[in-house]
Amino acid sequence: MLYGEIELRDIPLNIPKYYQQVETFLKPFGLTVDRLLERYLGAYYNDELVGGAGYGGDVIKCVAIDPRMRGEGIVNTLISRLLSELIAKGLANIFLFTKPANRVMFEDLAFHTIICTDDVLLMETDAKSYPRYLDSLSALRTDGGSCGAIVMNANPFTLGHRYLIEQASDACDRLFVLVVEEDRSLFPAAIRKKLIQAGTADLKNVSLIDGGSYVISGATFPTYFLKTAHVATRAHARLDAMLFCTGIAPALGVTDRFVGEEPLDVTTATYNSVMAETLPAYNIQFHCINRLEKQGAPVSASRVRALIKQDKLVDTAALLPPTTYQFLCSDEAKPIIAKIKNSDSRH
Amino acid sequence: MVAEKIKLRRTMMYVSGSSPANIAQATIYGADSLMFDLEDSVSVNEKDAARFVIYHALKTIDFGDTETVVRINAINTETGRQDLEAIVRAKPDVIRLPKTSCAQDVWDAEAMIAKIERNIGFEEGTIKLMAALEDPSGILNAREIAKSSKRLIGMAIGAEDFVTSMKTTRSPLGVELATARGLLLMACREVGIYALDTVYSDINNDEGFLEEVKLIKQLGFDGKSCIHPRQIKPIHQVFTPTIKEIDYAIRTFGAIQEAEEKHSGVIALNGKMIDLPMVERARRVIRLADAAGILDGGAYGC
Amino acid sequence: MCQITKKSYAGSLESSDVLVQISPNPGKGLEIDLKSTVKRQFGNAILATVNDVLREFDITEAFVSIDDKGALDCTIRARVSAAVCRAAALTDYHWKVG
Repeated sequence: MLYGEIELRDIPLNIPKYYQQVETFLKPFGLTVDRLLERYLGAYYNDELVGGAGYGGDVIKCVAIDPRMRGEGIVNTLISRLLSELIAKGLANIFLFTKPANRVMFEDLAFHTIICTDDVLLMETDAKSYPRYLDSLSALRTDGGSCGAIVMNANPFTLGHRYLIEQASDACDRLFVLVVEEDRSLFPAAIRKKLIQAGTADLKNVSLIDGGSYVISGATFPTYFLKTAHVATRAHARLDAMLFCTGIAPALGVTDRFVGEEPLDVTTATYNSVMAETLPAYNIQFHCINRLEKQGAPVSASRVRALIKQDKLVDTAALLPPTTYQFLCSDEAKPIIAKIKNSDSRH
Repeated sequence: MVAEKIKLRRTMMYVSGSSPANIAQATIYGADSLMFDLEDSVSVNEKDAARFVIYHALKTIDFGDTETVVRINAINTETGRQDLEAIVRAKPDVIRLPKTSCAQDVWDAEAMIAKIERNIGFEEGTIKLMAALEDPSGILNAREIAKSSKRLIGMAIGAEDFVTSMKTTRSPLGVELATARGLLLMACREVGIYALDTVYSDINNDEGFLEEVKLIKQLGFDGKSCIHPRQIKPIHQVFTPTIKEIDYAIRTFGAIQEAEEKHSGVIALNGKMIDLPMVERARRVIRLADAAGILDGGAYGC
Repeated sequence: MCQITKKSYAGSLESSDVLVQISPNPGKGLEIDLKSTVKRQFGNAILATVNDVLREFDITEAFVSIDDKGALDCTIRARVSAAVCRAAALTDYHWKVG
């Protein structure tokens, strides 16, 4: 902006007064602040907040401009500043989460559309990133027969996950397990993947794939990583489901999608129900597999983490494949176990 | 003749190296000098990019008669040293050194610049220097800094950092700056270099701004740094001489001319001897009036 | 020859500026994608400048995306240079006189 009278200011979201100011500012735009928003930049005109944008991880979001101030280039200034910061952090591709109505504006601001649903629009700066990801998936494709897919965080990999994979593996000629890559869980992505690999090595028709930025990530499904359900969870789940149906599944040649039944966690249950609604229109079979039970309760990663938290590591042996249990007893697991004991995270 | 000897530096406008838009339009506002900034207005992540922007702008854009100044980062940092390597080659009129605390700071910069000048075949001394004094040591060493280098064309006070180190803030009357401004001015006047006042950062307070400009002109400053184009015109207006001052200056030159024609050794006006300071003052008045466009050009040695 | 080793950017989307993105383009040579508010009038001139800078750095393989908001030629030159230096991790640019 040319010697403009718009002033950009950092808004410290860790101070409740400012958090509320941003919350109030975003409300008329139908936007909400979530705990994943690390940074918010405000544009002020005569000390009044007239525009803002922020980011969490590699995703720019909560972009809003007072309608009276449109056409002043404020969005360009805000986005440029945030891009510069994110680039300085070494991020190669930057995502934007916004409303479909903003599509033209942001296509003019160096962003490329990944997917647009009725409620949300996901874009990225690297024009080639999503096409390249799909190309890498297509390379794994084998034509003919049924092909299943499971998306899994496995934090950590339990007998419950093993059971789900076994069921799917039996039902299909080939099975892809897409591992959530976003590092927001107590078990780091590399370890989660390693434990799935170790625990399924005997199943010959199973292949693991990195979920990247396009399968349950901070970009496609930000609210998945929140502790509690969020008003936007459904819209985000739908975006993730659409991305799966229109991009990932066709690239891999997926015919069947498997999920584990979810009686407790609202976010995952919402995700499952959105999948069930969305998949049929794309000719993908939806299968919800019952939970494996042990000692009268479903086996889940959260149950395992709860036992670790209570210092009952030995009791987890009954819920885990030997490969995971051995890992938990190793030195490598010590920092993770310490982290679990100090955490109240859902993940 | 007279006009060429006196360079006006009433306004030195900041142009951030991170704003190509401001650089593209910088000349249209009529500032006497443009100060392209690589220091405080450029964030740490953008120093490399801003350096390229100013380097290419200086090499490409025709800034006409407008003086070009580049404020680099402190030369005791890697960033500042890289700034020098690039900027000297782009050949601005002046390099402004931030946060100058003592003569050694100027000598260090001078040595580096001289070395680059030799390497690239510039005549030594091509690039002039300006020092910004922004802390108590700078102000207390104003005299030695003023005398430190032939390249030094002027000194400026940077008030924002200064008041902070003095444990105070800026106020409308500027009492907190009184001593610093005075010391800087005297140091400049002693060696005959330019004295430039600090920025006024509240761009919406026109009245307060005008008061400050009047104050610093009365103190004896040659000009002021500006952070917004709208500050330029008011400064030029304040620095424009009155009709009475211009008339007196014209008559001073008339008397000199007359004495020359009559080969008279004594020059007098209204029965009073005209001495050197009077001639200086008259020249300055004429130059300022000329810049303000209120002289009918050409005459009186301009 | 100068190698683009990682993806990088320089510039901004503000008026009179340009956002330049450069990334490796293994086996595909030079590809330039230009979006500009003045593409009709100045598209070729912008591409010529971009190519000129890439030649200066001896870059023969890269994907370059240009989002121009009406930048001056010298600004385009500056932004492409900065993006190349960042993407090729160059720290000692050879500054020239004139």
